[in-house]
Amino acid sequence: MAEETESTKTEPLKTAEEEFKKLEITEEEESELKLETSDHVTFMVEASIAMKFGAVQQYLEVSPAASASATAIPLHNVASRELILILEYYRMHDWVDAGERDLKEFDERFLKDLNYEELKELLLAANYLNVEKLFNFLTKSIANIIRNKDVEFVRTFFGIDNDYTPEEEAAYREENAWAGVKFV
Amino acid sequence: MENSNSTTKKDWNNFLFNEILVSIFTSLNVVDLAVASLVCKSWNRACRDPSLWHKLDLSRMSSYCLNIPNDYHAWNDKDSSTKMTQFLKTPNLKRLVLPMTGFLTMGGVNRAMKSWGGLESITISAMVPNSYIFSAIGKYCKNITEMKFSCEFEEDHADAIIEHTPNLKVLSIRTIIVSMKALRRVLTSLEHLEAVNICHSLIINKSHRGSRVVVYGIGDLRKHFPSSCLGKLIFCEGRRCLRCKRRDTTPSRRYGCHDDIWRQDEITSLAH
Repeated sequence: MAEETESTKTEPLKTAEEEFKKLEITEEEESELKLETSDHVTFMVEASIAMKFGAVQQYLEVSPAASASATAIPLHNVASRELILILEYYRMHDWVDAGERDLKEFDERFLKDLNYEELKELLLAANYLNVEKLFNFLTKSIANIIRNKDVEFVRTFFGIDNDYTPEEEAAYREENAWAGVKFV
Repeated sequence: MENSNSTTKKDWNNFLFNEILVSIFTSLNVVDLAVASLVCKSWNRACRDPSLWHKLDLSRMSSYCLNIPNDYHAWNDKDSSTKMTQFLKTPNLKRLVLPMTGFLTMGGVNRAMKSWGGLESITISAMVPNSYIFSAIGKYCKNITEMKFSCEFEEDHADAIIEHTPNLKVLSIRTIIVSMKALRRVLTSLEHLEAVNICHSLIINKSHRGSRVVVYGIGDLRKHFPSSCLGKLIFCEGRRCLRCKRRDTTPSRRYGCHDDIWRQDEITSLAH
């Protein structure tokens, strides 16, 4: 984070006033909020990103004093593992230089790298935090992956264990035979 | 204590996750739902959520089922009736879209309508003969207030709905060929009718032998109907309507169902 402001030093000298204005702006851009996850890890998060979380917005509406970085905003139902993923997603999508193709590649890899348990936890966390963009991305992608596929493909893609007994599976297969469901 | 706390949290998370799964599955069609229900037990539970079974679009299914997009003949085989009755385990069904073409037997239609007594809205296609679909609806589905036609709308249809669905409130007969006499009959005889959508439709009057066809414009309708009826009509700009113009200049775009345009609707509850 600190490196980002380094460039201001190499700028040619301008009038003191201009320089002061610039400082003000950079300071504003850099304002951060302290978030504390359920496993008691604190994160300093850019306000521009943290304010995209519905839960954070709501918290600040009730207790505006928390925007002073001394107090941490508690996120009771989000573990640090999920918050790291959520921040990774939002930092990438907030990055001005990210082209459309970069984002597409990033999104694909992001989804592919998650195992089913992680995906489930992330969906729950995104739901709790009310982070609309990520939540919509996840739900839409999951639906798209299921569309026009067979059962085995869906299981393998998400890494879902088949918890049916062979008898149950046979019964359901019979019940769904009309759909032409391929069942390996 | 700690232990019981973590169990409740786990239960709560499972409950929430089920809700999330249901919201994901709302965008799937029936075949994809069948696949999803076989993946694992928790997905199966989510697939059985009643909210996923309020609307059943069999016309979409016919294409996906055989994985041939826009195959209008997917329902033509002898198993069609059996296929449809597979959905009878969905008693909460509110809206049904019949497949575009195919053949459903009288027995199949009767059984289906009997178990879908809660239907409120239906899209009728050319596939089911008028002689028994309307009587089955009249007999079993007394709550139907919305109806859409994706085939030609003729006098037989008008007579049948006047007889069997007297409580109809909304009728959509858009982008099809509509008989002027049939239109007049429903407008004057269905007393609960609130809206009739005739956008982009061709309103015609055939002479007895069918040798002479008169086409009516919107202006002509004004002359033929009392203003109380005109107020219920939803229509496009006729000759100035871009969609009608485009269709008139493209021979392949004929009136009727062979285009996805029929899925849209100015009455949002009938669009799909």
